[in-house]
Amino acid sequence: MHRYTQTKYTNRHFFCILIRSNIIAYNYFLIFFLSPFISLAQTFSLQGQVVDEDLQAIAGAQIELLNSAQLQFTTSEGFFTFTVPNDTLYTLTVRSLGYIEQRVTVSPTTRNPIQVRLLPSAKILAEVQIDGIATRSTSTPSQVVTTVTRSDLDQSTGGSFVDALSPVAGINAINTGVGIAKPVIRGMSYNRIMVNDQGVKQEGQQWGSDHGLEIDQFDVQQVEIIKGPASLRYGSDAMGGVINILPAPFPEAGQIQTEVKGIYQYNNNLRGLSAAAEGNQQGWLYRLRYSHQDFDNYRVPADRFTYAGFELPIYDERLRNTAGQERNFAFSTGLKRAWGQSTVKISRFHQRVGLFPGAVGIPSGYQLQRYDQQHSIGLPRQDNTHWKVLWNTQYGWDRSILEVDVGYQQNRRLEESLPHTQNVGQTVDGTVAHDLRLRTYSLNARLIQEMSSQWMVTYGVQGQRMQNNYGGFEFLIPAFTTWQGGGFALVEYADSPVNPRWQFNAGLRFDGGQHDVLEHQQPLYDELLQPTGEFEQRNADLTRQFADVSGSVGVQWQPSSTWQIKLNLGTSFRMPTAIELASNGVHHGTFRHELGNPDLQSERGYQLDYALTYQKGKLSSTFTPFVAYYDQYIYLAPTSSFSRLPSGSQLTWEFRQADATFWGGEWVTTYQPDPALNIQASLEYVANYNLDFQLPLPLTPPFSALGEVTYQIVTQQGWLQSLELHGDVRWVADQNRVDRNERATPGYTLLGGGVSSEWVVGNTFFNVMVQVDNALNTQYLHHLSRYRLLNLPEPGRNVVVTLRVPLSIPLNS
Amino acid sequence: MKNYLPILFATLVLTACSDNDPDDPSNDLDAPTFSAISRPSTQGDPNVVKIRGEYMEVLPENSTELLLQGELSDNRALSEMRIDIHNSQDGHTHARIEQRLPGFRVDEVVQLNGTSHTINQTIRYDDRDYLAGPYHVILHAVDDAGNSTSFADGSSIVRSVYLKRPYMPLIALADDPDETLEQLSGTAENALVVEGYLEQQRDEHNFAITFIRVSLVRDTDRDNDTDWQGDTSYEAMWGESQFLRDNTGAMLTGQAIPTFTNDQLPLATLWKNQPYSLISSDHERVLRIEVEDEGGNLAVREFTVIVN
Repeated sequence: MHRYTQTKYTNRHFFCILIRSNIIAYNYFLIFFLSPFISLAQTFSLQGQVVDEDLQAIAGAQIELLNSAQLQFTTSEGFFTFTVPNDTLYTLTVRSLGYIEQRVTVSPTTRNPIQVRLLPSAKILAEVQIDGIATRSTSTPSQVVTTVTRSDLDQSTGGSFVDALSPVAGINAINTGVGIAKPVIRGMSYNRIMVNDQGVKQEGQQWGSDHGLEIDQFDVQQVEIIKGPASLRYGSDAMGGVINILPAPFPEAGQIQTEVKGIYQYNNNLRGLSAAAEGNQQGWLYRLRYSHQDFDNYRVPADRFTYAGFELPIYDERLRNTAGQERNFAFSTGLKRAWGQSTVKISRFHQRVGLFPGAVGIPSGYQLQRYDQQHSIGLPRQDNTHWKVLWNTQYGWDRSILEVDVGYQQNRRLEESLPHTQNVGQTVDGTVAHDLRLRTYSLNARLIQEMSSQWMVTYGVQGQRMQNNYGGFEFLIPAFTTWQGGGFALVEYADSPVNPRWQFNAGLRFDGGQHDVLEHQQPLYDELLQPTGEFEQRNADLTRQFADVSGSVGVQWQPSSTWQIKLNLGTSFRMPTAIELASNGVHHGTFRHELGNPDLQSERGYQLDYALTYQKGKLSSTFTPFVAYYDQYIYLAPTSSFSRLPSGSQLTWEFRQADATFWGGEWVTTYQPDPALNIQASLEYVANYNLDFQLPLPLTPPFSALGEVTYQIVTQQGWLQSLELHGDVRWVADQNRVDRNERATPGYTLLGGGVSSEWVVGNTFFNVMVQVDNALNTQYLHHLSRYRLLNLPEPGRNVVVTLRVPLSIPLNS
Repeated sequence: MKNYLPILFATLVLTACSDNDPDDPSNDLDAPTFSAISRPSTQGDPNVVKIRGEYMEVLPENSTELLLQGELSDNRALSEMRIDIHNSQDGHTHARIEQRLPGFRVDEVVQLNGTSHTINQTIRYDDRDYLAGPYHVILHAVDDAGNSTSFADGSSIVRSVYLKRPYMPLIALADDPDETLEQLSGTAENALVVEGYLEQQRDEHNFAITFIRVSLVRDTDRDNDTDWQGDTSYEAMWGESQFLRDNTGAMLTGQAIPTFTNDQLPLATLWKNQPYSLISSDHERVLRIEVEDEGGNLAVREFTVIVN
């Protein structure tokens, strides 16, 4: 449910406004057709009408003229008018309960009057094709974009932010138990998709399969998922897509917004709490959030599993040592002025999670005995801390906007286990097997200019410096420094500023990068696990430079209000990571000895995306197939030799390149026979093929279908304001398209459902949600789960209870 | 809508290219297969004991070598076989910090070719004094195309052996000189009477016993080679373990070890120290006696308890 009347958000906007006045005005009865003639000296008017998808007027919709204090509500006919001093660009934010918020760009002489068509907000994650001239600051109109809001995330609360995104068609997660998950877009993950947090690329050793994403799931308000190549705007690593976390809007001046959310999950006894307070004091913005979670070993619907010829116990049907905790905080402050906005955000993410003991070596029944508590986080375990400082500025003048994002990130990943695992004796590192420390400095700037009512140009530059250091008694990746930089130009054309029929976009980008990798010498140990004083070189010094060109061209055609067609052709690239070039060690998370290849070249991709949307009355349907070809796709291939390293009998895998193709698509259909009833079906499919070896690529999600029904009752009286019931079924096919040494995974069906309710007691509003996942306690293996390698099933039935209390405290100002 | 037909066509064409050609070596997805690997038998074989849920072939105190036999084959071309023998007495909690004797360790890669190989490997362990206790003997194989056996699907071979050495602690039961006793009897609500003794500092190594654990566990009998320990109705510990930790990381610790006389400690002294009365549900539970010494050697004996 969207509670716009409770919390008012200002989304990050594309164009900012130069307005001198600070007068607060609430007008309900402005007359639409008079205003062009009522021009007091040097004032102009902006007019429009707000309608729904059937072109019916929406009364009482809230229109905010950004960067001013002007706020309007539409008349019973849906009209509004603003008076503005200059003939320049302005951005309006249009909101109405039950609809998706829209931003529109207007200007008195070229884009005026406008008709804003609002689309109903779906209660479940859905494809959103935004109509009209809502400018998107993050993607071109021809790209396939899905918007996920806070309420969508609340409904699919999982163990992590990535799990909460998984219901979106085309999105998946590579998970290690509960709490550690990394995103997959159309079968691509690791360094092929980018997570962009407020304009800065998240860098946290995402090459690792068991390295989860360091984002506080409670701190995210709105996410845009771009499926498909986005290298043009985002550079290397955006080859498969982008998960764009948009900054949370600050409240209006004159109040403090607070929110407390408590969450409890039955399956792993998760207790979570997130509290936030934010305010806007005459343009000074501030926000503070603290979140924490504690969870125990998770429950599975099985009392044993088979591995290495042993049948091993799962006592009490709980996987030993999968407990964890998370402690996160974020503080933002900034300025909101007539010229724009500048904010600084400091955040820390800290997660400690146990790893199932069999994840390191052969588990034996003896080892799985119950000596510990269900909440103990013992060895082996992962400890991940991620500090971030982000500085975002938007500055506008005339017909231009300048956006600058500066970021500093410090990621520290500890992997702890007992040294005997790796045939190492006691060292000064104690139980720290890996201590990876990554520092990243980022700078991005974009200049957006409106050349005319039809043409818009964006220029951008990006730069990043990354430095990795390591410690611990084991070795996998070397120390390195990476520089990356790029510049792009993007042109957008719309045949009309108001509800265009045709939109084109094209762009070009140049990138360069350099990796400087330092040699590593690993100490050798004797049979008594003591150091011999001798060393062996795992990798040599290495410097590699890369230069790439990428581009895209696309079109969006809207022949009528019923049909919309998009076509996007993009080229993308990815420079090999320092890990792919120079790693040399046993990666216990994947049971392999991974060997880098210093001669790797950049990957190049060519992708065609198509989107067809049908929307009429109660039915809407979007079909988004894609096909792609990759030149020199980098992947890990098994060799025919066992590792000669002393760390256990693993096979050696080395990084190679081959040509590959990907194809697939999503199909999402929504039917709303009644305003209260919403039925949605989504299908997703991706397949790939290694052209050199004639085999599929590993870790590819299988075909899957999701059906959801939502029924909403809005009373708006008494204690119970609204009630929403939903049920869903997910069907996942067998995955038999597997790579060498990868095992097929059988399919499964999962049922879920829940109730979401809103209550008002006295002056207090609160929201209570109860959700059941895997209602039938189905035992299943997840093809992309790291624990699938141990034949461990996924969590069983889970009941999630969430209580949310937002509070708005008005200030005297 | 004609617009997406060309793309559909393109995807059909690309999909058609995915047919596997059975004659193409790059399509070999079959890993090598082990067969006829000599495994310890499970019923009444004097050379096999069950320790900590695993059936282990006993390598007697004065034995010098272990024989690995079996067959390995591949549909196309074998590349390598790996023999991995390592100590497993910490149960892979990897808790050992110090050891005075080295664990017997084999990490050998055998180069192979052709489609079949007869494994007939003699592995000697008499060149020096090694840690006594349980070991895993593991075989992996990989073929030319990179298909390898794995633990996950059970295609890699894991055997367990129990290496006995003259200098390891002795768990001796009365009237059982050849250590063939497998059952003990008792009556409910009475103490289980086990006559025997522990002996330390044998041989010239003189290792004192540093940890003793006696437990009564349910060991469900299954058709598989290895089972797991079930409910524990009794557990008593003396001394401090070198291998076993609880989940906080602390080593398992019990009461002080009673004094040995002439390097022997009667079992009756242990029972008096931490007594236990059998209950009827202890019937067919396993009495497990584990003894560690300061050298790191581990001795284990298990007996099925019959409650009358």
